[in-house]
Amino acid sequence: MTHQPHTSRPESELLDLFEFSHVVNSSLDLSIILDTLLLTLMGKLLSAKAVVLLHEERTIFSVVNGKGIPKSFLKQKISLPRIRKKTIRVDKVFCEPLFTHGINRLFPIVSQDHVIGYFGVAEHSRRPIGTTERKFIETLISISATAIEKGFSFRTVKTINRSLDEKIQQLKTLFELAKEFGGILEQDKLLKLFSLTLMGQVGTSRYAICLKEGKSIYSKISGAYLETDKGLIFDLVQSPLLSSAIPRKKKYEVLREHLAKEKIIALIPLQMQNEVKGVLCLGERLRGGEYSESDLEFIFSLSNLAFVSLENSRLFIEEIEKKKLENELLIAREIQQGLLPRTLPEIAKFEISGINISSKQVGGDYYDVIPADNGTFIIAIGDVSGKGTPASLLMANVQATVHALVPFHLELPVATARINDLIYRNTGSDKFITFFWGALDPKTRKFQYVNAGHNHPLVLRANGSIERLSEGGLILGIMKTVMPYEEGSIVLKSGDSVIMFTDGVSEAMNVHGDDYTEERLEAFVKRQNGKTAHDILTGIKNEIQHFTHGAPQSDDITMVVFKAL
Amino acid sequence: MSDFKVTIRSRDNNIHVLELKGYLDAHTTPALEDSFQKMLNEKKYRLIVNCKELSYISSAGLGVFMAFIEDVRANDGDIKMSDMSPKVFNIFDLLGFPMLYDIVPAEEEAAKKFDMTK
Repeated sequence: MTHQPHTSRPESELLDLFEFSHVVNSSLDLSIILDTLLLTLMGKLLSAKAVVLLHEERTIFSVVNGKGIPKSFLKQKISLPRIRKKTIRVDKVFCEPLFTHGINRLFPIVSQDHVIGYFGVAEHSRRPIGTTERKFIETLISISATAIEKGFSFRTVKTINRSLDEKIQQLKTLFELAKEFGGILEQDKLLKLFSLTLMGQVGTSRYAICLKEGKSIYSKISGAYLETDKGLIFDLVQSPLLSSAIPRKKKYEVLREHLAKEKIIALIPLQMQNEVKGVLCLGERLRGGEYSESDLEFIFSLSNLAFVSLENSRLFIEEIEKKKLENELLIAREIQQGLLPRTLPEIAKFEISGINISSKQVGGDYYDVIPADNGTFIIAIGDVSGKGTPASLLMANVQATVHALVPFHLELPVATARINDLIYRNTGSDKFITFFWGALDPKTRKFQYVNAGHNHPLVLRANGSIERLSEGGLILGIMKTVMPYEEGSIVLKSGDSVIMFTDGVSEAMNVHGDDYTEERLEAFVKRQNGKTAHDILTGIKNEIQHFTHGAPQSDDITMVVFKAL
Repeated sequence: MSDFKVTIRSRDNNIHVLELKGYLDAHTTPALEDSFQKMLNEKKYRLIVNCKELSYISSAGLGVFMAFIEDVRANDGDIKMSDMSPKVFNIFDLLGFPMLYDIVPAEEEAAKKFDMTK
């Protein structure tokens, strides 16, 4: 080449240009285009540093490619005016970031009369760029301008396509899960599917669901840290929130520490009818990186979908349980009603009246009037512990035992001890019965009784005084009979009444939570002097209804009243 | 029930291959979970998932890979994937799986990667 220095230079430059144009225009890949441009120019100018800046918006340019500069400088955004001069000198005032990185000369990249970017280079003070070189650079840049613009559009389209693909994938997932969740009723299965989807789609295996009411659900996250901050966290998380974006206020300090300790980096509200009912706490992503806005949005939709399904399944199961319970209570009520006497026997010279108003839950109250073949009448009242079917079944036992014992004419204390031992042997110690019974002899008007831990029946004497029937012993069913039961005995004169009742009467509750109490009952009974047994019973019933006034009946109300004529 | 099947076979060097066939979605993920669990129970940690006949994978399906990878790697093993169709690879790619897993065109290559690491 040294033989013909004068003719070869423009020729080789022409060749360079031709080759350059070919490479640059045959590629759509922006980085190949820019690499070629940068390397060609750097070779030509013997410069060790060069960058390409592309216009983004208004005065913002971004460093899209560069050689000989730190990696951290790439993708940086720089504010620059759009100047259509042939070349621009860069000093500290014009653009500090470029100047700091040694770029001291810019050449605008112009396409269709617009500055779409700049080529920046470090010009050596000992080797300034001459006019010929400048012309060559301008030519190269103008050749590449169209290619750069094409490549840039292509890259933008690719990015848009990818984010569209991501969105489609997310929608597909949501659609699939909406279909799937609807068909699953088991909470475990729902959570499993949710968990796997979260892991697959978002790439985290650490999450916890903190529920406003009831138990929180944890998965792979230990500790009950959220229990203490429930109020705070529910106020705070009204929309998806990164832990790093929690306001730096004093009241959130403890919460922030907790979250950091558990490596929770995002919080997603779980809503039902626009009310936050739970918070999904997300751990770090296994593949690293923060959650983007679109990730959070997706997780928000996904977790709310799962949450609504969880709630639905919970409600459905609750409904089934309720139906089961209602059926059970229906059975209990049938048992109980079947055991109570349908009609009471006539007792000469006596009036007798009984009532049982069972509560919704069916309490297990019992009363009975049994004529014995020796002319006496056994009058009994009892209250079985517990409610529902178990209580009514135990009551059935007591009823059967009482009926079986009556024909044997045992002394009441002995019979009571038998019943006690029988129940004690056959039931758990948590089951017991308060029981009162007596034998009324209409001829002698004597009433002998045993009170096994039951509310003391009241005796309203004809003169208006009140006595209580308290003789007896322990409640039935809690221990073997050690101490014999004692028997009490009274004689009823004309006009005397006995009022037997269960705690459903004395503990009837009003809306303020106050009990009716035995004191109130006694005071009321005192005023009933002279009334018939039936009127006394109805009077008490009405009085209780008046007292509770709309409060739901919490226990069975049972009474037996008899009066000597 | 969608059509999905996992076939397990073993290779040299204590490598086990799970061949997936069909449609891996919320319905069929339990099958893949069970297979991975079986591998773990048998202390088989060098696993290649051959996706040649896998026609679709849902997020829940991808979740299964995430659910087991930590355990497998904690035991000096790995889950590598091979022979994906472009459609299936696109899903893995969109969700960033190539950053976490070796996904290679052919099973042989995956097996070689195991050989190099051990």
